[in-house]
Amino acid sequence: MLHTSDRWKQIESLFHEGLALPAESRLRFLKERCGDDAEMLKELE
Amino acid sequence: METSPDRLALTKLLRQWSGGDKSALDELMPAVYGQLHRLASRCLRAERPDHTLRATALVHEAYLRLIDADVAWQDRVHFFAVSARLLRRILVDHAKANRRQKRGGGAEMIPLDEALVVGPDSPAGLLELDTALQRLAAQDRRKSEIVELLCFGGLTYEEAAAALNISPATVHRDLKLAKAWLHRELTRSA
Repeated sequence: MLHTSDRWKQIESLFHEGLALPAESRLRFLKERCGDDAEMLKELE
Repeated sequence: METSPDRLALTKLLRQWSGGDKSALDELMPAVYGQLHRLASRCLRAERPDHTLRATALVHEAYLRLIDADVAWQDRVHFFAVSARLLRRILVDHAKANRRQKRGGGAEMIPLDEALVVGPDSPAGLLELDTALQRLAAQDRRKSEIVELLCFGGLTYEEAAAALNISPATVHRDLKLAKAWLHRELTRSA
């Protein structure tokens, strides 16, 4: 899926933040940060 | 190994290109393409191409045949970078021709260096990787270029960083996302 560059940057930064967390808390972190943005969450899962 | 009469001329062209002379690349490229093509064809004709072709080995052999040993590290990196691009094209063309002729999938499963996308649970073929890389390039060209350099040219992180004029830390960071992204793309379409 092609994203606008802002969205891609956002995904990128969440990806790295999530990666720095222990695996068990990663999904919860992403769910919190993505909020209602289910699309973004799907990209990151 | 035979010494090609063109070797000194090609080495000179590489130095010029590495030093910023873009027209030198136009002269250099056909020779590099020709050499890579010959070496790749020889490997691909072998009975078990999946066991005999490795991008790194091939690019290094082309380098030894074409370029004088006495060049700066930076120039060598430039050679590997252009080779990675050309080899990708050669292998993709070959795989497409193979697929058209339906002669089995041997060439599509060429083991690439940095087995980053072709992990155990992702038996992606070369053409799928190429298409995914094109999509990645549309999104983020630099990440796609990094993968190209590592997969098709066998460059180290440090060399890829030098070729793209970024820091090795950036290469490392970019690769993490690129790998995850490609892995998802390739497992999804598989």
